[in-house]
Amino acid sequence: MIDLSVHQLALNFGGVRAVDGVTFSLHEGEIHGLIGPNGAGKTTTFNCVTGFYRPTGGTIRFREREITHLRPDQIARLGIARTFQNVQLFRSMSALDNILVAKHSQMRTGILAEALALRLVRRQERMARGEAEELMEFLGLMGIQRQTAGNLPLGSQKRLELGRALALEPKLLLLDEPASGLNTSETQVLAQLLLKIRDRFKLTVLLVEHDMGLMMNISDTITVLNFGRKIAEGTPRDVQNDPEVVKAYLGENSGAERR
Amino acid sequence: MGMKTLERLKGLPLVVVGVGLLALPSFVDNYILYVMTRLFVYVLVALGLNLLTGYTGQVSLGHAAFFAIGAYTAAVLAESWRWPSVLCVVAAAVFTAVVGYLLGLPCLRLSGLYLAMATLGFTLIVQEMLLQLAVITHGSEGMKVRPASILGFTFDSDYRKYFLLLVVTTSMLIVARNLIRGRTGRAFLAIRENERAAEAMGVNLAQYKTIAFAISALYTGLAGALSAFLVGFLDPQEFSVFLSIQFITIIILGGLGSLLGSVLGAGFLIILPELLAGLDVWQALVYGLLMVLTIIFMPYGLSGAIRRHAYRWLGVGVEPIVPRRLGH
Repeated sequence: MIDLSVHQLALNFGGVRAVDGVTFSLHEGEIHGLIGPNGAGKTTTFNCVTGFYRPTGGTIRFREREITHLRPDQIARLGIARTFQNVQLFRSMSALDNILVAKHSQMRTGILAEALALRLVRRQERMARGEAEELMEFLGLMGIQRQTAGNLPLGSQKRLELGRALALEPKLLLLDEPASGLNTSETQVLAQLLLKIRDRFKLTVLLVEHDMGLMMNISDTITVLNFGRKIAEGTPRDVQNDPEVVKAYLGENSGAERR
Repeated sequence: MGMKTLERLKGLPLVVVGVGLLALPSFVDNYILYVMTRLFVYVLVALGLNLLTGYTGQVSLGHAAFFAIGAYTAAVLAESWRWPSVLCVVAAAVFTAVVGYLLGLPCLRLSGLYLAMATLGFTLIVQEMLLQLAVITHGSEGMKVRPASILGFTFDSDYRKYFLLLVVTTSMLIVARNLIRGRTGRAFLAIRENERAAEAMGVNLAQYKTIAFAISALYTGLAGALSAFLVGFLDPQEFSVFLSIQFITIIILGGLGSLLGSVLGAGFLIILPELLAGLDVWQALVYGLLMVLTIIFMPYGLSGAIRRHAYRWLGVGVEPIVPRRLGH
């Protein structure tokens, strides 16, 4: 079954075609990689899918429902969670509260009931708290629940951001460069964790990476973008040997040298 | 161990303060009761303003206007329409909340200093309307308001007014705490901390910002309505931009994003001038100097300083992080 389908997606930034007719689809349960050199349009595509950018053309469908022009919070509530390229936590809130914010749309309490702290509110709070702590335990974040998110080391912050996305109980998880800032062994650990997450939460994952390493290991399918266009798609092995892809990556390097 | 005992003792200061406030009228004269009652009014406003500015990160210089709307609505309903006092207060608070919600809608496009400018404009407009709509507000003459009464019990003495405000303010403090600890409070904080991330987590920015405006206006309108009955006279000159600045000063000095800060800040602004009254001509100077020193040495307000020291010396609470400043 197809989870997400992006069809002829286009976005212009003042004459620059950041994304130019990109089409791809994600099958349920797969880890799908989106790669390409700098400025290829990966993050732009990503921001269109999550509603942060309004595409100028094309359609995006999530489980047969068109989401092209929805707001980010509406898309989130449909079950698409994301992380950001540079960790974006609620820095002065506790680690636990960061995760609880994501439980927002699962809780069914009115403001009046909250103001009076009715029993129904307290029960839902307890439940959400329990689930959040369970999630933190799964991610190895126990013991830091009450710590201020902005004071945590970067590794924990990245995990916390991942945990926050998972707390939305998404069907589709979008990760924007989750390996950036990590060394090789940390990237290995992350790869294992992502596979574990996919299986445990029965997720479809869209992964944006600049670097090939992580992608080749865990992706089922890879879409390669260059200058806003799709230039290749297939299994990691196919993509790696694709002449267009090789040219895109090497071409970028030689271009840089010439300058 | 020691830390756990300390954590358990956290409720103790509350109990002491509570008993102190209940016993206070037996020990002090009417003037002090009057000052305390005024303090409670300011605490109500500060709670409301802090929910919007401290917690949700939306700066407002429009709260003098909300205060005026609450006060005048209650006064007009009581004096011209002869409504019962309780209904006047409730209607004034609800009406102010609606106005707050409506003001919040165009303000969605603004933030920081621009939002401050827009809300400042709102204060100017409302004050001018108080003067111009003389048919309703009696213009520059002002309005007399008779004391509130509930079922024949009239709040006409400083003693009775004190207890009325003590009960209302404490209840609204608890309501604010409940909101902050729940889903709505987390949404407010998330918006202040990071709008993009809040959206990505399913928080509807427009909805929660306007809700914050409405709740904040509700608190301030309630304070205005009660103040109308307490003071007994409304002078339109009172509801100027200066009052808005006073409100903002309270929460910055007390601590943004802290309910305790709202209380302490109001205490600073209301009680300190009384303590300095003996200094005669030097009063304003010393007061201003203390304000400057406080903000230099406690940049996160009185409550921020308390939290910092409680963590550092007693190990209570968590290591605080530097919160963002206003108008970032």
